[in-house]
Amino acid sequence: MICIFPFAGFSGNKSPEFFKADSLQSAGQLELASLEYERICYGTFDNYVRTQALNEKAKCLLLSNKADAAEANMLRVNYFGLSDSLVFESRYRTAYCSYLAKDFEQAVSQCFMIDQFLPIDYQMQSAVLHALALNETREWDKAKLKLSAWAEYSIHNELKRDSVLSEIDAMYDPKQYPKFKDPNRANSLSTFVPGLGQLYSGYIFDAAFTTILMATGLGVAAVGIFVVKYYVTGIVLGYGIYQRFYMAGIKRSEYLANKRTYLSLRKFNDPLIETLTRLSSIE
Amino acid sequence: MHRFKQFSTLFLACVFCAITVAQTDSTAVSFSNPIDSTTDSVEQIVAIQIPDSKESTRIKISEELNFALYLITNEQYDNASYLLNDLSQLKDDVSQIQADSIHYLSGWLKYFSQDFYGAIDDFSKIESNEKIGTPAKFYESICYVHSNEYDAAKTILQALKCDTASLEEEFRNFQLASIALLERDYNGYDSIIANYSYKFFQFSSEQKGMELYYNDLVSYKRKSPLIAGFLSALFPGLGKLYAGYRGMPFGTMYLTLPLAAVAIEVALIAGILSPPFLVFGSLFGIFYIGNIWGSAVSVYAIEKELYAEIDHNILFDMHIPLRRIFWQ
Repeated sequence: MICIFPFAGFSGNKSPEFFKADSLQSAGQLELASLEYERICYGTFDNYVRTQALNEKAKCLLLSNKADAAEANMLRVNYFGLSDSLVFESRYRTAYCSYLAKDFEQAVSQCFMIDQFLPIDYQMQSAVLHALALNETREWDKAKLKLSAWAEYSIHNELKRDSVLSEIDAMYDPKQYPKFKDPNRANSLSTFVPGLGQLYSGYIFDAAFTTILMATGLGVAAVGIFVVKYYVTGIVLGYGIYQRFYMAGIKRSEYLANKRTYLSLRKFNDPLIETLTRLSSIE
Repeated sequence: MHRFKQFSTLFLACVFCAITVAQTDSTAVSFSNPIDSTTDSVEQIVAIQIPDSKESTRIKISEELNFALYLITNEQYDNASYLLNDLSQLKDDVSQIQADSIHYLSGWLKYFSQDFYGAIDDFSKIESNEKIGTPAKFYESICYVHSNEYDAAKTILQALKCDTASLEEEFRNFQLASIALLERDYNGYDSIIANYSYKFFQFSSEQKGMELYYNDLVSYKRKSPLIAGFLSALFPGLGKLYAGYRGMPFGTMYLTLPLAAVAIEVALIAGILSPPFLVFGSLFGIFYIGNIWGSAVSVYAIEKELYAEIDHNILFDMHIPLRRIFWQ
């Protein structure tokens, strides 16, 4: 993902104090470069310079595969008195770091701030990342609107634009949206009918296995009571088996509902990431 | 015109020389950039032309220490650790106070990342007895406490020279009293707190809190393992209830009583010497005896849990004022 949105052409004019840190970054000495950018923050009263330094430090942290630290670093930016371009760069980078750190709500929030406070050009530049973040928060309708607006605005060739718009329409067909499984519902179903929660999550064999175990417990009790006439033994053994697997089945149905939801989300979103990455390069 | 240019160049050269001489005197010389050596910034030219004097290096290190402090204050711990590690390599160029400061900050970072032996190593290298020496000794002693080396912690605190009735003296007594509690040396604790004045707001609440822990420890009477075992033999789970557990006894009953019922039923129907009774009787026997043993041991377990909780609270109350007093 780091290679997908490399922020080309964002950085503005820099003051001379960036020479050392920039050269260290270019030389791949990321830890030292990160320290030097922090030194710039320490030594300046100018919020513009400080914000630039924080942006550069975030780059170093991202290159060191520290997305969480990069996000935390970008959240230190104070947006008071900055130019639109630097606000955009900072918000966009924060959203990007948050996306990589899997903090999708934060990514959506940063893109929303761009939409609210910056001109349309900037809004469109962040549209693809915004759509990606919205996909992860399961707001596909909003993502579709965002991408359609972006295509209308950014793609000037009519043929290409129409093709992209139809591709977006095809991708975001509401009939194809994944249907999520509610773990609470799975829990309730398994409570009343053992195995039904697993069946609801789409795991047929799991459901069958649970049902067999439950039936075994009941069977042991029935054999004990009606066949061999060992009433207490039958009840204790039968109930022991039934109760153990009954509770385990409820827990497992919750787990399977969550697992199914995750798999459905990835199945739908992963191809979207690839397609959006390809579309973002079209002009 | 040409002559004017020559004069201008000469004049600028003179001004530049004057600036460099002034910078040498005021020791405001920057380090050269190791990577970007082709850039012709004034800073670099100065750095290349004038070798760093020892004094200027020390000023630079002082600035670096301020920077390290800024990094720690802003929770940039990775950066701070990297910088301090770099600074600690400059052995010959630093003054004693600077070396102490480097060790102090480095030790502090390690203490907060719970690398207690690393922190002890750094704090023990501090030689200054001035401003930095006292907090370092307190930090070193608490690191020993966390490493369960109470004697070493006490030795450090007892060797500390403090003014009479000063904050440091009262705080040292507080730390020593806390260690006495950790060692369950109640007489030692009593003799130390006799000297408390409770006049320092920085840790007076912890001093009072420590007395509550003391009361909890002194008033705690361990239950008898024999009685616990006996009660469990009478009725499964009763021993654990006596030991102080509330949920566990019912779990024990839930497991043992049905097995007892099964064993009785099998004995009544099939007879005592029948194979089903041997199986279910043995199963019940194992759980029954295991429960008696478990109840006897649970008396010690619950005592251990209580002590662990109190020890945790004592350590926490030792740490909080340390930070309040020495790291503001």
